Amino acid sequence: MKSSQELTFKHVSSEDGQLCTLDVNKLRPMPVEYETYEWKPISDAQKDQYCCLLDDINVLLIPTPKTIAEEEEMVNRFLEGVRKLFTPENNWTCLAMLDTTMDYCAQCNSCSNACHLYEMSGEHEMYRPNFRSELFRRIYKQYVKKEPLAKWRYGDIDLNWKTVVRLAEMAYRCNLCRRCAQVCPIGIDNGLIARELRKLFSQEFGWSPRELHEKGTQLQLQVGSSTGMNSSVVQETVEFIDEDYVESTGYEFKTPWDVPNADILLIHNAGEMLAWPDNIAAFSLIFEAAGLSWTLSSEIAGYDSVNYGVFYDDVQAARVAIKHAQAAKKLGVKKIVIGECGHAHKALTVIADRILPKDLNIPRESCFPLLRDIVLGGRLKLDPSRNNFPVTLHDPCNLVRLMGVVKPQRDVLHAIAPMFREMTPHGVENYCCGGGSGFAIMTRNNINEWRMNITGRKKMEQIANAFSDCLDPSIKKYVCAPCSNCKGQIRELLQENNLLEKNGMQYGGLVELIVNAMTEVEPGFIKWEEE
Amino acid sequence: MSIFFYCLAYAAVIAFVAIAAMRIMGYLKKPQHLRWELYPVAHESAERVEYGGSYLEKVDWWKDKYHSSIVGALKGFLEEALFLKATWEHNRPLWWRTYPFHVGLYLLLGGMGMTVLAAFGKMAGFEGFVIFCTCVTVFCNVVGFGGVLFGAVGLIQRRLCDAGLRKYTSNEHFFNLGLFGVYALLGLVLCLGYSAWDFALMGNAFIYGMLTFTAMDVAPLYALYLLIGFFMFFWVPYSFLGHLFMKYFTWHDIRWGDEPFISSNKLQNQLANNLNLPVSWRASHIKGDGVKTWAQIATEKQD
Repeated sequence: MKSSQELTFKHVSSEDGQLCTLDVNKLRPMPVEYETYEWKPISDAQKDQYCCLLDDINVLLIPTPKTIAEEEEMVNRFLEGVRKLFTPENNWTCLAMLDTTMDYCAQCNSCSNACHLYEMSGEHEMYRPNFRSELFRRIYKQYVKKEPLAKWRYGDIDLNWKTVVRLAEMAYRCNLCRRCAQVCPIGIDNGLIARELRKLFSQEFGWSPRELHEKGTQLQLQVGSSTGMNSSVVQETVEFIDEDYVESTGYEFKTPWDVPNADILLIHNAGEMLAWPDNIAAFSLIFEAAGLSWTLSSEIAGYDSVNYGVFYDDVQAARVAIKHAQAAKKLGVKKIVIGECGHAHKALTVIADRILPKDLNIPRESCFPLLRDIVLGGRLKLDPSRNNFPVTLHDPCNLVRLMGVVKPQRDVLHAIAPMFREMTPHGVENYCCGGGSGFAIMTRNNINEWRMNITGRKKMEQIANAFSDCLDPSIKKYVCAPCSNCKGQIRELLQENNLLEKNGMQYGGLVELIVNAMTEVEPGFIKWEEE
Repeated sequence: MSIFFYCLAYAAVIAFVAIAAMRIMGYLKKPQHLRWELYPVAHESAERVEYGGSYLEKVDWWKDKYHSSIVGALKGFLEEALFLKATWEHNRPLWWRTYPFHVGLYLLLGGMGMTVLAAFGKMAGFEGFVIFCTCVTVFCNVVGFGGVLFGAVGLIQRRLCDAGLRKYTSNEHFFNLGLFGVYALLGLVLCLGYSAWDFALMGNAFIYGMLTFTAMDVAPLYALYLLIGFFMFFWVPYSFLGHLFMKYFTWHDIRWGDEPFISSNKLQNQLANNLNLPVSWRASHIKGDGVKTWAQIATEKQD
């Protein structure tokens, strides 16, 4: 194994066995009591069956090639995939961005310090945003583009099956938050390269994390939701949620389904229905109290805004986006409003904007401007003193840096949360929660340990620092994370470390805080766990 | 010999224009890409640029006309081009070296422009204007060579001594920096040897010769200086140094490319073309055969 200092591009091809590891006991201490998560050993059986060649984490579970012919086939197929990435037919979606990112990087490494993985891994070489990118560039220029004097100009890379599987795994050592791209002086996007590699391996090899593909987009396209809930189950679930929360809030409401020609089709992340029903109830309650014309849809994918395709596969992203638009078209709604889910925001509002044909390009918007207008427009009776506890806001990357929806959620918080304070940095300069690009729903093969040790470490540090003046457990405090995936990650960070008990930290969305302040609702909508 | 040099000079200018045009056209001919913007977007309203907001912060945003502020975009671009703002904010140790290097290059380009103007002035018989241009050229040359030399040496030193940067530094980096360094050093030596004024006059005369197709004799050291310059005219657009002009597209078209589908017929037509492109990805959930289009594959029923 190679240490961070020793690791070079050549080792990716030459080293046998696991390439590197990371000593979790040397990670930066946290401002609050925080566990160290030792890597679970990889079993011999697993090593025999799968290519466990990069580090202690295995996201892709690539079958080990058994013969030299299989090894060669892997390399040839990879090269074929790379060629396709650079054709307008197969990659019209991203070719312009990819080409400029491949050709014009000056290798200044300005991106390194912007990356939370690089920083929190103790500046491990493999986590430089440019490590996988530059390896890929050198392979492309030497083996595909065949630039004159490529070996001399950029350095000779031996391309073999180990290089291919390590590159595939490296594509999943990134949260795709694109903070690295934001600081680049030239406009190079190393986050894009991670995603392009994921695309190559998914679209050519069929290699992708099962949580994103089989249990993600495929399930959603076949059944209607990545949760596995079909149309009738989801309607029953929301009916139960309505009943529970009418009883607990004392406010009469009923979630409408399949209302033709409604103004708004609201699409939730269906995961909320199972994990955070209070979020579903809060939306229904607010929309009903504000007197909106709105509906949910029971069409395939029309009740689940998730689109994991944006993390790994353009074809799957397009298929899911089309299903969302078809559901809206069938109902004849005026617009789609996306609930508290960051990647769904970007997928349906920004990415789908240049995928959907004209007849399906139904107007789509974020829920946050609408919530801002409802709250500031006086359409709800609110008592901010009900939220008289410290609140901080986690900015989902997809919402802020990648979409520019920054102020509406803050306008709401300033109006309803008297003790609101920002994290540092925040807004478009935020840090990812650590669950970004699909990791929030993965726990196997040391992925959970990785999220706790490295990817989520910066966010945990930010949260602790935002509450540094009130860490006493008797002071209840709230991390507002208006995104389903981010909430999943922050839940793990807080619960695994018992930080509600130790430091009084709770988490949730924005709508829960709004309902908590509504005077027409029984006090105490937000539940502090031990209550 | 001098005619040969003039031929090389014409070839260098033609190569620069041709390679740069090819690269720009290559970019422009690519299919319309997905939106991939990053905020802040400089052509948004000044208030939104301040915190990184977008038009998507408004309810029913599509009811407003899409607005792109030229002043905002220009401000954002000039801040970056003139001050290397991103490097200043995110890579300060590099900025102290790369900023003099870039400013030096800008000045040398400016000096070259003044030399061309001086040649036109001479053709028109405006002696005063020629003297003015020559004075500016002298300043641009001396400060420009100094900046480039300082920057090139500093950047080589940084790439050699910073362990993190060293791994990412290829032979081409040293070649490029060395090339610029030698060019600037020769320029300074010539300024010292002939005086900066005479050196500027040599430049005036050479460009005048190019414009009037009258060759002049070239001293050996000046010939070497010119040769390196000619090579750079070819090399800059060909290598990653082409970010000189491609940065316009990476910033304006990609990073700030937030134009919505709904506001542009051109975008709608381009997208319709894209959806009819054939797909050949082989994975089992796609089974592209090079005939089926994106539209067909994206809408086919899933098993």
